[in-house]
Amino acid sequence: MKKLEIKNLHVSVEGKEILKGVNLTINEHETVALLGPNGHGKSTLLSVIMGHPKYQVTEGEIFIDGEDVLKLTVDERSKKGIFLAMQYPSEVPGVINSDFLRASINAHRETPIKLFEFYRELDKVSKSMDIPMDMATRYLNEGFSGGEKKRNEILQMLLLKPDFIMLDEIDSGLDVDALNVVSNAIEEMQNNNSSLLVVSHYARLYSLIKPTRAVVMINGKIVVDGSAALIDRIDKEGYEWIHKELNISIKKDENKMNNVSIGTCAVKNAIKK
Amino acid sequence: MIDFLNKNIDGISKEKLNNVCKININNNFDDILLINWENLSLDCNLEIIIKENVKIKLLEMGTVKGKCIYRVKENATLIHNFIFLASGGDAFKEIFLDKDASWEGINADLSTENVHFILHCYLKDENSKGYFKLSTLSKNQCKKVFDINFIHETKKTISSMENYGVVQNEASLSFLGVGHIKKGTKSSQARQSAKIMIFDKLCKASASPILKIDENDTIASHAAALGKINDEHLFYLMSRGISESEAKKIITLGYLNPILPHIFDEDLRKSVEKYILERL
Ligand SMILES: Nc1ncnc2c1ncn2[C@@H]1O[C@H](COP(=O)(O)OP(=O)(O)O)[C@@H](O)[C@H]1O
Ligand SMILES: [Mg+2]
Repeated sequence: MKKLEIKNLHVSVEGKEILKGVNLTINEHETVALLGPNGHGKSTLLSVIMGHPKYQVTEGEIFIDGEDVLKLTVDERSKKGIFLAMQYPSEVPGVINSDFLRASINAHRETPIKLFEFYRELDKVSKSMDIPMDMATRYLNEGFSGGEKKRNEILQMLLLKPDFIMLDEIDSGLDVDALNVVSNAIEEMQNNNSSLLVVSHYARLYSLIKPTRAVVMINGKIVVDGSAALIDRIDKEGYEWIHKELNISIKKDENKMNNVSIGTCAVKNAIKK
Repeated sequence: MIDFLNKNIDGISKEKLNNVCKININNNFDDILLINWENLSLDCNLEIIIKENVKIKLLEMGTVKGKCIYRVKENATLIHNFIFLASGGDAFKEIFLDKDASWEGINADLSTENVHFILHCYLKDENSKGYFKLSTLSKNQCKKVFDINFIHETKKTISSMENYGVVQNEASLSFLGVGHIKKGTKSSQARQSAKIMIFDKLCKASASPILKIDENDTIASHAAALGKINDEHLFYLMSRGISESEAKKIITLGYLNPILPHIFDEDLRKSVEKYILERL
């Protein structure tokens, strides 16, 4: 992938506008940190790029290397190299994980992968992810712990080697060792020339994967687009300065989910004013 | 496999009393005991008695008109596969479990005809356990009814059933049945879950498992889910490049395939798997 462009994107869900004119371009080899308080539309943006049917795009465009992404079905987007590691991966009963992984790989190939080759690859990648092989024989995400689900997402990323990778809070629920394993996998993709768009609330993941740029989403818009130095600033100061310097009032998340986040306190302070 | 109904087999004795054919299974068999109803009919009620401490695997292919009774004696085990691949039909089964007896009934139904399966499992004595698991596909104009009942008659009895179904075209599918925990059956457990995936507008589906609990000291759970394919599941699979039609197929197989590990004969397991793939 050379370039992903999002132009004036407006998105609603069940009649409520969530994204209100997002503009964002991601170039080849970039790792972009997507920051912002809870409930401001980060997951929505990622899901819309992937093509989740729940969201209606009411205005705007998304292009990948000049091609209209919004015209493509979800599976076609995947075949163009777009990948989303989900914040909450679905549990799919009765579907054996390895069958799903093999079908995913085959969807990206002309001829089906040989069984022997598949298991060799799976074994290699599972080992690098510290995933026991028996996870492949379990039902897809069913009864997986939070950390196992996240690692299973990264395992899929490694198997599919996508060009444009979106990671939605991939580090939540991971212990220090798992975080290192995941960041090594991300580094492998960076070396593989993939571009990344990464949502996280923790400076720790970012310090490991070293984004080349950071953007901040507030109230359904990208309001700041700058260098990776933004991450440290927000980690230390929260989002209050955005309120002060840019005079943007920050909407409170009605159904807040995550208490520990970069700048949570600052958001609360900003709202009190 | 041992086709034992019309043959003399060491360890199996038979007698006919009035209108009942009694078959006693007196010792363990490593081999699977087979009744193939596809080319048999019954001119009497059938009663199969599994003697104390005996453990067997019994495979029944297809259905038969007429009542079949199974008595699982103290500490005996009956692992039971009901496989309907071709014809459907009516079936009426009663299972009686003595002390420490256990019964595991596995029903894979891919028949292309109507099915009316009635089963009553009586947990008559302490520490008896009954388990039933079903995978069924109802399509075209088929009407299928599974009426599976567990009756807890004493304390410390355990029952569990998991019914999974897929209904397509204009077919109908209903899961009936009662889990009845009678008064005085302390420390018993009953679990029921029913799931039906509905494909088309003209399908009829119902799942009304009922728990009748007359005793306070019990653990009971109860879940029924009916509906279309889950959009989140579909999105998840498609986001990995899998086409919509294949994703639907994989998700639907996920409803039916979990029966496979419970089918004890390997060749049969493979052919059930093949039938599921072909008929879907
Ligand atoms: N199905 C839905 N119906 C109504 N509102 C929704 C729905 N899904 C998400 N939202 C709202 O969209 C907003 C953005 O959510 P999300 O994109 O998950 O935020 P973030 O990832 O930044 O925390 C939130 O206010 C959330 O409540
Ligand atoms: Mg989110």
